[in-house]
Amino acid sequence: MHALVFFSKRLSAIVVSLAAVVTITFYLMHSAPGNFLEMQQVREAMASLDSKGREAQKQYEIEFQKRYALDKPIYVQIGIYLKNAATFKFGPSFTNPNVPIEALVREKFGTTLQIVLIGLILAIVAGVPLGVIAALRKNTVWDYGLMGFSMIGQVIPSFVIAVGLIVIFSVMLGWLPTSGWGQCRHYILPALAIGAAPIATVARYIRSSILETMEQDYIRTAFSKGIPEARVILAHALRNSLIPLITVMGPQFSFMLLGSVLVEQVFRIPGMGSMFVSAAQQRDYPMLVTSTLIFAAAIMLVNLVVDVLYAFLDPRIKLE
Amino acid sequence: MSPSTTTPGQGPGAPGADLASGFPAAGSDPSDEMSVPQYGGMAGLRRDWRRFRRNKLAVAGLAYILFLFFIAFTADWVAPYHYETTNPPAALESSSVQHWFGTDELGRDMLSRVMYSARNAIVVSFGSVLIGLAVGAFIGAVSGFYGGILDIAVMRVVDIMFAFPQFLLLIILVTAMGRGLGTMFVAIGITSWAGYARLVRGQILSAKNNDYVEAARCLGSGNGHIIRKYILPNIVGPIIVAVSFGVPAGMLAESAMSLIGMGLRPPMPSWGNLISAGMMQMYGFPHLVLWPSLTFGLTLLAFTFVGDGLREIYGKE
Repeated sequence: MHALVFFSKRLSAIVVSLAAVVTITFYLMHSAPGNFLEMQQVREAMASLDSKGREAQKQYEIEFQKRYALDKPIYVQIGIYLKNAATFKFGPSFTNPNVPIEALVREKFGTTLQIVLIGLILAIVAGVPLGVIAALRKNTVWDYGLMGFSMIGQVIPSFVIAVGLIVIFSVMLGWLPTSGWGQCRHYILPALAIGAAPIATVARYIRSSILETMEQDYIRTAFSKGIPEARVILAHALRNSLIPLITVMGPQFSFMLLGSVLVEQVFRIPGMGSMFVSAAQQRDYPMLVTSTLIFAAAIMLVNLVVDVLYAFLDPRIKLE
Repeated sequence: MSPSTTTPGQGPGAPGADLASGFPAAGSDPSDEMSVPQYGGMAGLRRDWRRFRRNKLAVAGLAYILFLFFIAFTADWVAPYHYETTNPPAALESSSVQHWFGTDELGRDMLSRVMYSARNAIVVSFGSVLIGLAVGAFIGAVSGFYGGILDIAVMRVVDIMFAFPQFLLLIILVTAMGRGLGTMFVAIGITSWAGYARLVRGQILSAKNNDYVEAARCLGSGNGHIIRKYILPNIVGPIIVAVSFGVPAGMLAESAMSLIGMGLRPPMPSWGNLISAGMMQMYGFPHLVLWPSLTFGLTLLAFTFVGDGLREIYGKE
């Protein structure tokens, strides 16, 4: 019952925040100089300079405005948009008038999610063992080397890491393609670029968490029973670090989701991020608002799931 | 900033807070290096510097940043060429005595372009931090100090700013405002004020409940006097730390925007647009992406080291 109240409270807060995000985006778009029609007009004007062409153009514009409800006041537009968004219908975009946005989003978001999930898996599969090694070899060359690398991994932005990976693995070694999408080998570099910071963050977290746990009484008890050090660390110390790891992964997910905007540009991957950037460049407002909404919703929902999951896995945590 | 505001801003619960720091050591000579740490003025600064100096990485980072500043602001004189000077016969050369970082497809000197990029990055990042801090600190201070319904309303707005993915808001803002150097730092400032507002409000709330503020109020001090004399000096430390992380974040935002073609307008160079331009010719001429990436990466590392060093002194945010 308590959890249900918590859940509905958080969910309604998310809905309100998303409505605010949509409203801000709408107003900013509305205040922008130049719109999609004007940008198109320049192109059309070249083709049709006679009066007949101009008449057709005018007709087209009126129809266009009607179709996207642009002739209505902005708050009405926002209302219509929010009402449709509630049922996951976003209508067609400017640049792609025959396909509903939700169909495009489904495809592109899938692509982005694939990279992010591979990055997430990498973060755990690589980050946890690296953190354990650093903790086991505390204050040795191994520890310093690993922590130094993870410092660099955390600080250098994903798009610079992406460029570095391309230079090494594509240009110099010729092992992997610089761009493209669809085959297995296309996933490796983007996932590494986007996963570098999460791997580093997880490794640092696991290391410090294990070292902290080693001070606990029950670890001393385990040692005094004669259990070997490696087993104490893996079975006693590490196990206790894994549950709070979920709270570390939540922010990493949003970090990677937003990082995908840049990494997709570098590798020319047709995902959500590329779609967002091209929507901004072409002033495709329905597409821009919808991709913003999807990004924000994904981040907020993941944060909610992390909180619920954490409380579920650790009975000491109470939802409130 | 007067010397008195840069006194050790020991936030409540600052890790390294030593007892002596809170009280002026009576009768000690502030010019004496070995004197007991003292609250206030140049002595406080000197003590902070002594603690900062112990962190070798932070000192190295600071040295690098000072070097970068020097290069950036004397670029008109120390750069071997202007960033727009083309020289087609010498296009796409790799490193040589004339062109340390090589040249690009128009024969422009890459070293000069990287230097001018540093200047643009510094202008944008410091400009954005100034705007974000000024707006955020004012809103946070008023909200925290007066409280009540105003505070609740302001914090709702801050929550919404946090709900909006920062980088996406930045792209949308630039779409609305048009690209360029000026809009770049205004837009980054707008997307970052909420963090400063939350920080300053939190600091003010915790400072407000301290006994010494109550004591000052009992002695008849007005709001302005209390803010200036008792609250401000105590929140300067956390703000310095936040700024030291805000500046590289601003540089990152500027370069990322320039990378996707929404930042500075070419031919004005930025690490971001140098990298994206270099990627077109990565096969054969990897030096075009190598140097801007290296400089940019080193700069971010240096700021992180300095930020960590400052955090050790002034405590967590």
